[in-house]
Amino acid sequence: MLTLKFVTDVRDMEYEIVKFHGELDQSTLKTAETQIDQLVETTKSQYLIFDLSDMKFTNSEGVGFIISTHVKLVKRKRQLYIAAPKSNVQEVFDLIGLPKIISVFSSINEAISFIKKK
Amino acid sequence: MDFFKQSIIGKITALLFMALVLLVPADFFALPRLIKYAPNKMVESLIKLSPLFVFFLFIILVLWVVFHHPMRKIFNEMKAFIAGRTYKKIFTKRVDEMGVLAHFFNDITRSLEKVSGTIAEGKRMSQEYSVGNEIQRKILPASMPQIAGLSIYGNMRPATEIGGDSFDIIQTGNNNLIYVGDVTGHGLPAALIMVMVNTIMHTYSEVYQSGYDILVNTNRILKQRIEPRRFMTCVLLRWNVQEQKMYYTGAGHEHVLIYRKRDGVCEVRQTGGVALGMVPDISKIIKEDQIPMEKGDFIVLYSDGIIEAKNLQGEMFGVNRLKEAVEKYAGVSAPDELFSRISKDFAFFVGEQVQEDDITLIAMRRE
Repeated sequence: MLTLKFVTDVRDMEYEIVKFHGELDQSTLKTAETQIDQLVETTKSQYLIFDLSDMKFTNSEGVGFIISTHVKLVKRKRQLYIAAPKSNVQEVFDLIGLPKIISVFSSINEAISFIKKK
Repeated sequence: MDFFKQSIIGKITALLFMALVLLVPADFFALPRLIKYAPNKMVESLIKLSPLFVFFLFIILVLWVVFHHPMRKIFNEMKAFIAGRTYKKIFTKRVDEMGVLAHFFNDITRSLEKVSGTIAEGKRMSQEYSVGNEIQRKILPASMPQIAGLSIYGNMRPATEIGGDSFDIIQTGNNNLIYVGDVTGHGLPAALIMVMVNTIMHTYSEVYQSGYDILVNTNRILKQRIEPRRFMTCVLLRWNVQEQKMYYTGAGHEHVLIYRKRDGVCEVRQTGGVALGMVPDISKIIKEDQIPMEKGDFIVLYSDGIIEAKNLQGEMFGVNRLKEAVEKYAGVSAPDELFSRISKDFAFFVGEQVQEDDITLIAMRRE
């Protein structure tokens, strides 16, 4: 099961955070795609941060979805960051080489600080 | 009141009662006056019977409106459905027997539409699986080749749905290329990407000498042709017969297991790189390295289907179990024996659990 929570930076509108609760794999991909695609179309923020601190599991299908979101945002001159993945999720990312393409931060605050410094 | 609303008999009874209520007074007042003007006995009889005729006509009208007309509509749609012609849903606000029959027809046809859709989808998936399975099978090496200085054995067991695993051994000049790959997703789209990569790698193996160049260029071509969420993890080994040396280039795949006969220890080495098809240019991300091998040393390649397989208790097989199995058997086994022993341990572990992903295992020994 997967639920997503959306948090906007109401002060500067610089970033939006999407917090993932649950598992991102083949069975929950449709849920993620529907909501995130809509956000990608409508967001005015420059940065999108995936908060994965509460995401229990992902596999190559989940990574594929993250990559395709990254590509859609890059086409719109926006950027995707990942924050606080659990160790098992980080392992999958490291194996496939995702951190070489998308910046991964150890916490949401670190990601926000990085954005604010830009 | 419910009886009259919800039942045809109730409606008919109500209408007939109304008819009687209207007819009886009419007869009582009108008939004697009409009979006075009857020219003969026959006409007088007809006039006396006229209320009955009117009443019968009324019954027929009521039956036609309340019963026959709506029934005919339902039967027409039923006949169309049975004959395989286009039929329509029956819209009605009636809650009597006709309404029940109409709603029943709508429900039955809706359920049957769902079932036939499921059957059609099942047929399509079964056909897709057959084609995808055929594609996947054709990529695999028909037999294990003879390679100077190296003995090798590998196999792939597909899951019930095409899972994306592939491996091949490409012999070209001094190089023997062994790769194992895993495409994201399942089914025919994954199988098509497999065959695309296999074809491109075969082509570039005739042009380039290093695994690095082969993968950089394979990735460049692949990225142009697949959707963003698809990619293929891969590790490519290159055994150079002339040098008698082993090289590897990682593209986001599982670890490689390297067993050293000298100390009986198995190293779990991350292959690094990034999966093929994720970004257009991986030239600065991947690299080719050497794996020094002495006689009796093993390299084991595998796909995530093995280490992510679970037993009935929900426990994963994991890379540590695989590593332990290699350490246990590699010192006393040829590649095909090592494969067989690991397979038995794996089968014992997973038990009756359904295989959800493809399983690939390749073992090679320095001779």
